[in-house]
Amino acid sequence: MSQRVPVEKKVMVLGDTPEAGRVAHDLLGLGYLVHWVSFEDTPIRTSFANSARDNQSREAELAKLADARLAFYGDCNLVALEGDVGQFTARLRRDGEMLSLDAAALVVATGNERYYPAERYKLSLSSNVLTVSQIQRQLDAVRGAGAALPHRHERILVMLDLGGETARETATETLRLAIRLREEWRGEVYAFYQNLKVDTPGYERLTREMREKGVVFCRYAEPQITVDEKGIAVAYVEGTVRGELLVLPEAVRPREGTAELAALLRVRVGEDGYFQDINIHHYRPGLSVRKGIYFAGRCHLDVAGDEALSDAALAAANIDALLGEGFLEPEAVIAHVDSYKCIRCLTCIRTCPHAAVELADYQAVTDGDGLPVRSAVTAARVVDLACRGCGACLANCPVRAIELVGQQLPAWMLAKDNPQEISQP
Amino acid sequence: MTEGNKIVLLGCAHSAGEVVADLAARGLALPAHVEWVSVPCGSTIDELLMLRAFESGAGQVMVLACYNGACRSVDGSLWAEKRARAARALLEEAGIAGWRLQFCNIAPNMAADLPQWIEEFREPVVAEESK
Repeated sequence: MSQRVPVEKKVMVLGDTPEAGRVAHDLLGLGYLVHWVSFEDTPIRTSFANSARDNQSREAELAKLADARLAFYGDCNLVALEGDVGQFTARLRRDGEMLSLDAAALVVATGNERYYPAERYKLSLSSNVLTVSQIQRQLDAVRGAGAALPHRHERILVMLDLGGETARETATETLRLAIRLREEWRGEVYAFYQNLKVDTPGYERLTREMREKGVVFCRYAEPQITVDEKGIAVAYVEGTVRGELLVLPEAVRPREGTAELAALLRVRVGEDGYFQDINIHHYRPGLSVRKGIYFAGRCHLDVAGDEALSDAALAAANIDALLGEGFLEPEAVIAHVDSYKCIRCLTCIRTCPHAAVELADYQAVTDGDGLPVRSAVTAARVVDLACRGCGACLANCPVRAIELVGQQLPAWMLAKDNPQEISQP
Repeated sequence: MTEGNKIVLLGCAHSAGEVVADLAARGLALPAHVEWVSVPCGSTIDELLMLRAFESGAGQVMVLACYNGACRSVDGSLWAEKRARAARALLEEAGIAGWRLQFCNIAPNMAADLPQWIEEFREPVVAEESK
């Protein structure tokens, strides 16, 4: 078909996370060119609490991907995103220099942010109240140096869901840690929970393994936690459990600057502050409202680490479904603006949920003899490839300058815009 | 089908369209007095479209859009609901009972519900006819 627009298999991946690495990895495997852009130390900040781990995996991924088709841009600041699906142009600033990158599609994999929710837990950290990552560091240090085990044979209390449900990501890490505490410190481990959902892949197997290894599960409702020099006491419905160490998971929240990044990319942020997927009808998570922009991993989902990686693989698959053929085609039904009816009120630009309408300069039209048919005009224009044909612009247009091309409507619904054609009573 | 008995279903292709296709696949076609009009999204259903349905001889119009938050184009169902309300006000201004225009949220897996809704929607008309 003549409407086919060839596209380059070039994708931009935003973020400094394991899932960004997975997207890049999968796309390279499929023969794509990848621009991997990281925002670290820029106004759109990355402040991963676990940046050491992320950087490690990034280095590992990068080493694996040492390939001419991958270009990594660190410490960049995204200033603007121009264009639409098939021909995005990102303007980046790095060390005071401006940089332009072209890409046919874009994946946002900026991840989330860790923090210690002191307000929610109503507990401050001390020598016997520690977070999961603090314990993990202790465990790893011991493993490396062969040093003395600080909490060997102690009773350790692991507390999930304190003051609200724990996110899947940190809950999974906490349960894995409970197993390690049991095995490496030979501790007596009590796992407190309120609502243990096993809807994460591997979660049920994990809890079963914990039971088999002797972790005691305690369900609580309203716990009374006292921390003193003797240790920790948790009083709950079944009685009081005393322990030497209390382990609390960290919480996750949307990464700082998510709303600003969403505004730049013209995609949506949900009420929870994370990037928001488009609907549920065609079950393909990770689609943004804009064609050609995808989300991957923890920047839009509450998922544990492994699942974030599978979500990243899905984003790569979605991109291949879009660009794999090497060309793009507009959808069967798309909106079209009559530039002469348009009054440039910008209503369509504001209402288009897919950011597919722009203001454009239309060329003058002349007939065969060079006589003017239409003069040059500035009016709204629908970007054919970005339009999803919903018709929101058409219903909102105050002068009815927009129509849906390819839409089949019964005859009685059409051709009555001219009042003279409407039959008189 | 007598003029005025016609029910026009104006529905989003992604939800109501799936339902109609589902019904057809099960051999449960819509009744003869029901005309199905598919639009790409609830957000394209404006007052004019609903009024034209009445103009074309429909006695009742049912507007079907996705559930809020399930729209492929974000706010389509909200637009449709708002415009159905406006169109109902216009109808009442013109002396046509507002209940003749109904708005419903529907999901693609609700094939069992639609025929029942149509049946219930028709009840006042049937009662009027039998008088």
